Amino acid sequence: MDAKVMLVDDEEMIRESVELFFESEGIKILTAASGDDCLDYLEEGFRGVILMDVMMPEMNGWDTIRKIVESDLYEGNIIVMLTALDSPDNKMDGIQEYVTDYLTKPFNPDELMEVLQYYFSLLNAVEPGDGQ
Amino acid sequence: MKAITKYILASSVVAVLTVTLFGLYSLDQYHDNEVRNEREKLETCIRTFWQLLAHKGTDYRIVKGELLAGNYPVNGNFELPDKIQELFGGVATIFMGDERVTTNVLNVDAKRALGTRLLGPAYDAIFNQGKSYRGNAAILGVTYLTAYDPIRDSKGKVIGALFVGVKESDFLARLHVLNVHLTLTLSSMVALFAIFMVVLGRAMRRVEEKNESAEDATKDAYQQLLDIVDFLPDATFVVDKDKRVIAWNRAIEIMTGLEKHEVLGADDYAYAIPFYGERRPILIDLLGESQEVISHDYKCIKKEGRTLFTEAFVPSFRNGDSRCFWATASPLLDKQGNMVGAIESIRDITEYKQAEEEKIRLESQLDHARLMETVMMRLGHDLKTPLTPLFIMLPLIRKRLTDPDLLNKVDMCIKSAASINNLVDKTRRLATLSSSVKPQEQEGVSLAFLVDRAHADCVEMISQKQIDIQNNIDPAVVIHCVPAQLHELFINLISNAVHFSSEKGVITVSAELDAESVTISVRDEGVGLDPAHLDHVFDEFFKADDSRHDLDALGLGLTICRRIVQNHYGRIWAESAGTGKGTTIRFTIKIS
Repeated sequence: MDAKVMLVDDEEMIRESVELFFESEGIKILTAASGDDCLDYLEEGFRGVILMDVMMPEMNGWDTIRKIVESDLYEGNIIVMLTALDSPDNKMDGIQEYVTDYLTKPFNPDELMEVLQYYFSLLNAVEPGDGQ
Repeated sequence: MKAITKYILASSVVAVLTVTLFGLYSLDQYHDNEVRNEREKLETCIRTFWQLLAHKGTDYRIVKGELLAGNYPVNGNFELPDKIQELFGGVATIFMGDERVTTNVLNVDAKRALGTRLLGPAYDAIFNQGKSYRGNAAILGVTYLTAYDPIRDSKGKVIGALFVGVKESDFLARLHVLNVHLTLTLSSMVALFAIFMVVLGRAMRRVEEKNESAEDATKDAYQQLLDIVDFLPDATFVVDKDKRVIAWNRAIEIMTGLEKHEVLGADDYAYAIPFYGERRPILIDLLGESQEVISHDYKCIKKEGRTLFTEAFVPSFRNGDSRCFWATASPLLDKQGNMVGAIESIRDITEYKQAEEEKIRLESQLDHARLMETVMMRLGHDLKTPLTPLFIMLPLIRKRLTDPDLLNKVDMCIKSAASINNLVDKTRRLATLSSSVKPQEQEGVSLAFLVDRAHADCVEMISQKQIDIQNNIDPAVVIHCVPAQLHELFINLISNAVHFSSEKGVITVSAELDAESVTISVRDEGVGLDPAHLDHVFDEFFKADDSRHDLDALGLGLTICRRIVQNHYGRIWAESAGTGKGTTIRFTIKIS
């Protein structure tokens, strides 16, 4: 799978705008409209940076992370939460360790690029085929 | 003989018997008690004797016909027996073997009774059985209450005895005196009882004959009752069985303005006039009525036993005021349970009712405020989602543009989106700050340090305008607060001051201490404030110039400041000499 970044958000407008932005930067991106879609992509072999919305209907961001961990699909991924809240909420008890960073909505393209490039460099450093 | 006299005689006999038996029983108890006390004293006495001896030495032995305690010679040494006499007044002796070798017992020649021998059951107990002895013993012809303990040498062999005693005759003499006292007491009690019985008998005869003095007593009691009613703190009146007013107390005089002499003895619902302006039945008239009648007249009425309670609204009381009264009425019953009158108390609860209504109103306001807080939080959250595409797309669009006019328009959109986001943040912040701080959330922080931190967080905008910030606060001043809230307060105040300052301006932060609180001021030399605006700058969305649409300065910053200060039970206000003359914001906060 080519894409190294996946956006999980139930809002179509956000998915489309983020997708447009990444395309303009020449970065391939997968977009998932729900936690289930996200899990499907992971099953198919996606590994990279996952931008995960917290508030989603049916399965929220925290529950999705729990599923990812339980299904042994966490390895090789970096999870960045997208949140509109100023402060972390109590629903994340026990899974904070799987969340590497937070981005507060609304985020601008510069913030997004900065975060992504940093974690891309981290992922490359541990890339198994890299020979390091 | 009359029945009453028989009754009195029989009672007297029973009483005298009871008192006598009780007296004898008490005497016996007292005797036992005395013996016990004497014995206790005896034990204390002999214990002390042992302690005194042990103080000299605990190794008891006989050397060359002399008893020694350690190296202390006992024979003929009267120090210890005399000490016992001094302390307890009793007799004391030490025996070597069965021979008295030191003592304070005197013989008939007033000399110490040395050399004589121990005899009788005490001898038997000590020397044949090796045990202590307690009991009566004859010493030189006198009976003593006595205690003997064996003295043993280091091998446990009995080599002598310790003795203390009190003369039993002392004890008996005391008992005799006691006897006399008791007899006297008993006799006087019996005599008093007899007198009491006679008096009672006479009183009974009077009752039988229903003579006039008894009626006088009843009248006195009745007057006392009326006096009590008169001084009851609640407005109260009493009617007889014909509904004639027989008591109208001071409190009801004050409440109604109607005096006793105007109403006492009046019938035909006279008591209703001050309340309703007409003669009509009121609560007191419903006593004894059926439930239907009662519920018909008063909407809210309660019955407990035979007592009625109600709240009544009186639309036009005295000066035409509407008042709310709480009233209770009870029947007055004779011994047979017949209703002979009734009593009603009335309390003006208008103010209490108003307070109650005010409380309900405030509670519902509070509920609404809570609801609004939740709505604001939710709205704030939901606004962030549609803002995200704007934040991402607008910069993308801007990149593709070259036309300066379009660039300018997109910049306006970007700025506008940022303003919405800022406003959403501030609104949410204000909603979360809506409750007072709890003591456990507070901690002591250096005030000067809080200012420095806020300074550091605003450093970008400060350096852009080359503003000089002077922190004049003594670092030793510590306040008790929620540090995060005070941090936010200073950020808002400093950024506000920077915003309204011209380039290279000076902002001064200082503090004045008094006994309980500190007044902090943040002064700038900027645009200043119109005196008419001073009281309004803390209002939500206040803008000094209504015509300006300055999106950067959307007026919630100072509202948040006021909220934070109020959360800390302080006060905040603005001072300015006028437009163009700078602004000072001051607030108070309690020191720890």
